[in-house]
Order: sequence, then C-alpha cells, then structure tokens
Amino acid sequence: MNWWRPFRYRVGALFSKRWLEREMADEIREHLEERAEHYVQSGMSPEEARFAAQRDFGGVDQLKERCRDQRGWMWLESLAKDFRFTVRSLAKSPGFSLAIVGTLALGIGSAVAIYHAVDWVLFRANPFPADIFAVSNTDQSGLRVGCLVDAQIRIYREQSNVFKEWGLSSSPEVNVSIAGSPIATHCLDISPNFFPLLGIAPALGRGFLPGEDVEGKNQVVVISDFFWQVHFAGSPDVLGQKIVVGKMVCTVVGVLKNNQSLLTNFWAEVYRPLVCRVNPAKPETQIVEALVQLQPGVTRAAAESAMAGAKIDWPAHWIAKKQTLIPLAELQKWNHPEIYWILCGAVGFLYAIACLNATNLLLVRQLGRKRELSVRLALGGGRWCIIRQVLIESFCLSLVSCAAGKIVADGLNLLFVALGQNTLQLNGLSWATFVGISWSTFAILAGVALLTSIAIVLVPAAGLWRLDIQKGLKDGGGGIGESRRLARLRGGLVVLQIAFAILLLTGAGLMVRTFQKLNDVRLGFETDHRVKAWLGFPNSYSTGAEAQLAMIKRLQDDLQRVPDVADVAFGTDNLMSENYHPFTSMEMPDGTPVRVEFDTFSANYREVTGVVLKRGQWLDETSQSEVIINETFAARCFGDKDPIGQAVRLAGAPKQWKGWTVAGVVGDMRETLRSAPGYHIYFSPGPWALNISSFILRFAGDSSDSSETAIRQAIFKFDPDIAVYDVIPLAEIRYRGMYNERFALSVLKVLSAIALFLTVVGIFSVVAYTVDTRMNEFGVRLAMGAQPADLYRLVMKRGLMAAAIGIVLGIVGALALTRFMQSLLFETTPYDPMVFAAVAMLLLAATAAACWLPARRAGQVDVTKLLRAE
Amino acid sequence: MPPKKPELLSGTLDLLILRVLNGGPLHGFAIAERIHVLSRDVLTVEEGSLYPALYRMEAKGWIEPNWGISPRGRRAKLYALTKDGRKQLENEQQIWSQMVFAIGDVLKNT
Repeated sequence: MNWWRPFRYRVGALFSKRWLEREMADEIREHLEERAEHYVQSGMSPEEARFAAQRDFGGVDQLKERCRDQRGWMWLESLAKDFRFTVRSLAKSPGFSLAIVGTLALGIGSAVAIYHAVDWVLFRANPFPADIFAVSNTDQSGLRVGCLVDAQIRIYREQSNVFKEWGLSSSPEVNVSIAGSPIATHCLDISPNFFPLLGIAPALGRGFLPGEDVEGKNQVVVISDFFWQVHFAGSPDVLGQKIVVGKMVCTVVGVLKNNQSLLTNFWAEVYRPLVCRVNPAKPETQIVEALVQLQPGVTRAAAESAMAGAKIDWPAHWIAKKQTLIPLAELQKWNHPEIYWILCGAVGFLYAIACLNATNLLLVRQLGRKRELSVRLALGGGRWCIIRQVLIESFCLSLVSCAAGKIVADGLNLLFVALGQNTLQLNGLSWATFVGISWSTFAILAGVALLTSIAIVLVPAAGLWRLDIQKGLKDGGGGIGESRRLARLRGGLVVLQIAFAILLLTGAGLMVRTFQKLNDVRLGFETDHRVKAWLGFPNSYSTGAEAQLAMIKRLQDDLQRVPDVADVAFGTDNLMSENYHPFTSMEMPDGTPVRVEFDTFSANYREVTGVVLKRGQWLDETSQSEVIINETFAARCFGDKDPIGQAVRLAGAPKQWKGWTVAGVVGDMRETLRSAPGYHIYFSPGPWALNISSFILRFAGDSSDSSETAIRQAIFKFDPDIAVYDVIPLAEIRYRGMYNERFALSVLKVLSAIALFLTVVGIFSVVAYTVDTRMNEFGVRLAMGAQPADLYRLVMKRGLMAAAIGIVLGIVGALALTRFMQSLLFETTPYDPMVFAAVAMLLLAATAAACWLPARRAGQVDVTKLLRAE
Repeated sequence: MPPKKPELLSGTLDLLILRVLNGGPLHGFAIAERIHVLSRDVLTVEEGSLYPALYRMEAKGWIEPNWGISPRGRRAKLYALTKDGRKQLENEQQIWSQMVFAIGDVLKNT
C-alpha cells in the first residue's frame, strides 16, 4: 500500500487549511446550484428549486464538519492551537515569561557549561586501543624508569610472535627557537610509527615517514595546534617553515590538531622523529618510554611472562627490577579528578534551585488564573485538556530557556576557560579546542532540559487535577489570598531552595578556607623579586664535575648581567619542585634506613633565596665531608640533641667510613604545598655539580615579572644547547601548586553567585506575592489598630522563618556531603564551623534583603484606599 | 403499502463510488446521480454521506480530485480513481461477491 499519498494529503491539510476550506465551500455551492438547475429543468420555479435543493442537502455546516473530520490529524491541529494559545498568553505576561526563562536559562546554561568542562575528564578517559600497553621498568624503590633501547627493546623485538609493534618516545633536552629567539615549549621525540599506532593523524600535512628516524633524515617536525596558533598565527603556509630544535634546523611537515587526545605523558607542542642509535657497547646510552602493541590473541600476562623470560644483558649499575605492562588508561592520571565530580554536584544543586524557582513562578501564575481555569472546567473543558495546556506552556518555556541557556553556557564556558587555563594545560587539555560548546553536547542537555520542563510542571499539574471548581469560582479574583495549603507548598519550595543554596555555598566556603590555608603555608624561602630558571644541560657536558662547575659559574656571571639582577645562586631544583631528586638510603642512629634526597647549592644560596640557617654554619664551596641537613631530617635523626658535629651515614656503608659531619641545620623548604617536607641532605656544589639544574635570580626592582625573555635570551646566547624547561617567578610558584584548587574555587564562586541570586529572587517572589494577596487583610489590621511596624515585622518574620528552616536543612545536608570534598581540602575539616556559620549568616542576610522591599510595602499600606477599593 | 425503498447497506457506499468512478472522473453530483440511475432508481445516496465518504477516500489515497468541467458545463471538482483506488475496488468487489454467494447459500439451504 502506498503510504506517501495519504501522508502528503494529511500534512497538506495541516498547512493549507484556508485553501481547503474555500475549496470545500465551492464544491458544495456548485452541488447545490446543479441540483437546483436540475429541479428547474423538471419544471420548478428557480426559487422553489433552490429551496428544494437545500432541503435535500441538509445542514451544510454539519456536513462540512463531518468532512473536516475525515482529513488531516485533528489532534495535531488542536495541539497547534494549544501552542498558539500558549505563545499568545506568555507574550501577554512578559514579566513572568522573562523571569522563568531567565531562571531556567541560568540553570541550564550552568549545567551545560559544567558538563562540557567535565565531559572530557570524566567520561572520555579511555579513547585508546586496548591492545597497546606502556612498558614499565620498575626499580627497587618502585619508581618507574625508562626502557633501554639496545639492551632491552632490541631483545623484545625478536619475539615477534608476542609483540607486534613498538612505539618509542623520549623527551630531548633541547631548546626550540624560531628566528634566533628561544621559545618556551615542550618537545618530544617519537618513533615514526607512534602516531599511527595511537590512531592519530595530523590535520595538516603529514606525520613522520619510515626512515626519518635516521640521523640526517630527522630534520622534520610536527607541531601542535596550540604552537601553530601562537607562533604561526594559524596560517596554512606553515608547512615548509623552519624552526630550530637544539642545533638542528627542522622543517614543519605537519600540524596535529588532536594532540589533546593523547595521553598527558605524550603531550607536547613540537614532535621530532626519534633517532635510535644502536650501540651495543654502551647499551644504557639511550633510554626511552616504550609503548607496545601485542599480537592479536596475546594476553597481557603472556606478554609480561615473555618479557620476564627474555635474556637481557643488563648494564652493571642498571637497577631495573621488574617489567610490567600498564594499560594506557591507567597511565593517564588526572590531577584531582574529584574536582570534576564536586563541580557536577554543585551544578546539580544550582539546577535544582533553578527548577524550584521556576515551579514556584508557575504556581503563582496558576493561582492568578484560578478563576479562568475554574470557569473553563465549569463549562465542560476536560481536566486533561487544561493540564495538557500547562504542559505545553512549560515545554515552550523550557525550549526558549534552552536557547537562552546556550548563550549563558557559552559565556560561562569562556569564563571557565579563562579561569582554568592553566589547570587545563596541566591536565593535558588544549584549551584552544576547549573553547566553544559543541551542539552535540548541547543536544544531550536539551533533552535533559525538556525532561525538566515536565519536572517543574508536576506540582502545578497535580494542583490543577484537584482544583475545586466551586471554590475557584467563589474565590473571585483571589481577594482572600492563596489557600493555606498552597502557601505552605510554596514556602516549602523556597525552603528547599535555601537548603540547596547552603549546600553549594558551604562547598565554596570550604574551598575558600582551603585556599587561605594554602596561601598561609610557609614555603621556607623568600619569593618576592625572585625568579627560578630550571635548565637541562646536554649530555655532551658530562665530562666531569669540575668542568661542569666552571661552566655553571660562567653562566652565573652571564645571568648576573641581565638587567636589574642583583645576585644569582644555583643548585639542584629544590624550591617547590616536584621534579626528580637524586636520593639514597641513609642509616638512622638506631640502624633503620630512611629515604633521603640529595641536594646541593651554591655558597650564596642563603642570601639569594632567604633560606634560614637554623644552626651551625653554611658550607664553603669545596668542603667534601661536611653537609647541611634540613630540620625535619635533623629531628628524625637526632631528636632534641644538637646535630652539629654529629655524623650521618649511608645505609650499608663500610664500618671504617666515618660518614658526613653535620655542619649546619637549614629550615625546611617546601617541595609541594600539601605534603610535609621530606628528609634532605645538602652538599657543597664542588663534587655534585652534575646535579645542578636551577638558577635563582634576585632582582633589585619589580622587574622580575617581565624578565623571562631576558633570562631565556641570556642562556640561549650562552649556549643554545642548554634546554630552558621553565622560568618562573617564585611568587607564582605557590600558585602553580594550587591551580586545581584555584580552578575549583573560582568555578564554585561563579556557581554560588548564580545560586544565591536565584534564591534571593525566589524568596522575593514568594514573599512579595504573599504580601500582595494579603493587602486587604493588612488594611483591616491597620484599621483595627495595628501599627505599620507590626505589619513590617509580620512579613519579615515569615521570610526569616523559611530561611531558618532552610538553613537547618541545608546544614544537615552539608554535614552529610562535605566529607566527599575531603581530598580537596587542606588543613580544613569538612565540618569547619566558621564556614558553616558564615554561610548561614550570608543566607539570613540575603533573605532579609529579599524580604525587605515587600515588608516595607506592607508597612506603607494606605488603609483608606484599600478599604475603598474593596 | 408499497415496499420500502432499500437503504444503502452499510459499507457498500465506498464500493459503489469506486465502481462508478472506474468509468472515469466524475464530480459529487454526478456520482450520486449515476448510482441512482444504475440502480434503476432503487438506491439514493444522500449528500450527507456522499461527501464525508469522498473526503475519507481522498485521505486514504484511493481517489484524487481535480477541478474541471462537468458534463453540463459547470465548474466541478472531478474525482478520479488512483492506482490504490483501483486495487481497493478489486478487493472490495471480491469481498462483495463472496459475501453475496455466502448469504445466498445460507438463504437457499434453510
């Protein structure tokens, strides 16, 4: 059966109604005339004939109606009618419509923006093939170390029945420069099959070709989208441009648009082919990160045992103990993923507040229409018919709110990106691709929003179902005010709003406390006007400690000449650094071994960094047997005893060795904000020069913020081969450790502000409406001798009562929920009474502010006017 | 008392209209008249049932209207059978003859 013609007919009937009507009228008229003509021919007078024809025909309008029933979709037509009616009635009360749309738009928009922000981290964590693993060499202390190309991977490669393909990568210690000026960036060397292995292809140009991993052929690079935008302004003729990596002039052959979908470990801005130099004589020279794809059907366990069985000729001092395979998804570790759950929860509360507000507004509107609805019911309108209309109304409102919510979400998204830029980079998200919400994300949320349109209408619809016609008609224009039950219901909704607001604000408050505490952490060194440069020296320098120290001192002299620099110190990177430190096991006086990290610093380190010498004296540059230890280590080692002059020994050292003598005790320097300082031992730089990797520059003026370029230039001029990993003012170093907290706090602040605003609007609307409906009552009270101040107090009391109940509820809820924030908090209990008290006070004040205007109106009621109006 | 004119059996109107239209496009008035004449003045189709039936059949896609000129030279909406309509006609004719035989059998055998 052909379905198309009937369908077309019905759709046509829907849209060309007027035309069809005319056609039907024409047809009937022609019919009547023809019949009359017929009668005339059989001898009737024309007038008689016309009457006879009409008599035969019967009721024209009834016939038309029956014909109409045959065509089109009647239910669809009446739906369309309802829609038109709804749009008209919403347009008639623009204030109400705007209030609801604004409320829902804020709720939906925030939810979309947060969902978009957390989507990547929470829901798309593992876009990686399941048959690819990272090879992990674990040393005796459980640290991951890289793989040896010659000793290890070469042997594994021979077992091609287990391992299919190897992808290698390594971070080169080189600078990247364009047109002679060094650039702060991150470079990664990868084997040519690396991108194809992970299913990634450059958006522009090409990836690396087989054979480009050979010395001389490797002068090509693939750059990230971010690098392309910043340094080549996103121009398409970037292909063929030259950039300098180390000493090598490389040609840009490709632009990677999707490197944010790479694991954090492999996230870089410049990629270069990894050259594998085979040198079996010195197998530890090349250490890489290895990814391996297993042959089909080979399990992880089988591959691991194949690795364990491989006969590897380990270099003498290589301490790799155990080889394991790590699934890529496990390799990907987000910093504080719980932040994203917390934000989800927070926006959920905000969303609930918005919905409650909308419900409340709908209820008020319905109250205003009670009489109209009662009349319609009395005249025989079906309850379903009216409820359908209310549903359509909320659907229309949600639809418009969605569109408005998109604008809100875009705005919030831009704000969040600005607030969280650094966090995003830390998390491996390229913020450039983060900007702008995709319509697909929005479509998902629009679905949820439409569900909400039903949620917000449930209470009003239930009210309609039970609407008492008689009472509705008797109430008149609502002169008696809202019913007691309805008032309680609306009050209850406000109480819930306040409770949700408390939950949200408590979370934000706890973050504020945490932030304060992190700000108060004593770092153990001065931060003002000081800049740290973290460097990597090329392997070719490793000729010996003495030569290295001489070179470092020459560099120190050069840095001294950077404008405004007062003095320069150097040492291991030990100020707020989470980077690798050399460490070893030291023996406590009681014989137990503890892990102690080795550091070294120049003689002037104390003056330049403001590190505090607690006891004893500083080291001179050449002392071999004397050391300084930090306070924590001193306390662990010697307790209350004076450590000066005591010996500290390596674990397992021969008996005849006397150990190092403690010359001084230095105050603890923080490595991270959150964790307590570890055990540190400091040597003079002479014998340990190879470990030196950072310079601290103290500036005379305030110019430390703008000095990064000058410092990079100076080091580049000294030797372009020295890699400058990082140049950062020490004043900022604290905040680098707080990026996640800062991001969470600022987003929570924005959400809290929106929630507070919506709650105040909600309270205001309820109290104001109540005052409005009780105006007559107030007038009577005044006439009976009440003072205006009494009325004022009456209204305020009602608002504050609701607030009090909401606050109690909210606090109970917060006590149950805040412990999920525990891991994000710092030196703050989830039950911090200060925070709870502050939030409760804030909400009370907000409620008072929201009630103030309506209360004042109640107090200023004009009795004569009111009573006369009645 | 003369025997009452038989009323149109319910469900047969569609069949009659389809059958009449099988001869070519006709307008409403002509359809009614043709049925009247072909049934030797026994069957009268009232406008009250004719037009709703025509609209229903159009909605089902069996017939298709077109404005044209009636045999008497008036502007008229002429209904023509569609392919689906022709198929429907065959169906209904078959069902009808089965029904007639069946009823006839019942009447004969009792």
